[in-house]
Amino acid sequence: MLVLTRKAGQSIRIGDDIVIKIFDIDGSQVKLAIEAPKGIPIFREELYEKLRESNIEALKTSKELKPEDIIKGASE
Amino acid sequence: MITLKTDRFGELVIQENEIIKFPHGIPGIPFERFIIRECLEPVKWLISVDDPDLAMLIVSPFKFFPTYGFELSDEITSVLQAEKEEDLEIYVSLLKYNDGVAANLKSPFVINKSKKIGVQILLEDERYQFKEPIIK
Repeated sequence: MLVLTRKAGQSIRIGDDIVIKIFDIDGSQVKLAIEAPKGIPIFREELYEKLRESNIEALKTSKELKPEDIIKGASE
Repeated sequence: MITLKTDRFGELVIQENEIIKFPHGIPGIPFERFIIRECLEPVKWLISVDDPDLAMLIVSPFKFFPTYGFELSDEITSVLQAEKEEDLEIYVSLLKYNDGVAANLKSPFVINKSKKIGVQILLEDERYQFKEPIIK
């Protein structure tokens, strides 16, 4: 893993077209400005992880769900 | 035409023109090509073409959550090549919730049905949860 030290206002570049700028530092919080090509998904890691887990759970539990119950839920 | 033998759906015959491409993939699934099949109206299956035993139940959220809605960013609209709103379909995945059912309102699927392009987006909106109960 590459570890770099940067100051507020400085940037790092990944490949030709991704630039991550240290926009602002306030105590323990760092604000980043990200420039990336249109359509490259950018997520907060912890949310991405929850999204992935939710999809895996949906795959696993789809066998146990009863569509009839879901429809019943809709009409209640 | 592709014919696949699956555990869950038996023999699955897939037409090329029904395959929806997810250029960003779906987190947790290492494939990009999917199809949607009726399960029991309004519930549908989202099935991976490359591994059809990877499938989840999806549903249009609006019947269950009439006020549900979000704005699409320009980036996502351009990935979807969406020209008009009528081209777009919205689905949310279904999950088990204790003994009931929940929907993932936090990360809906947006599909351009005419171009056959799909994206799973992640909403910043704090009102929406990964597990919102439909039936408790």
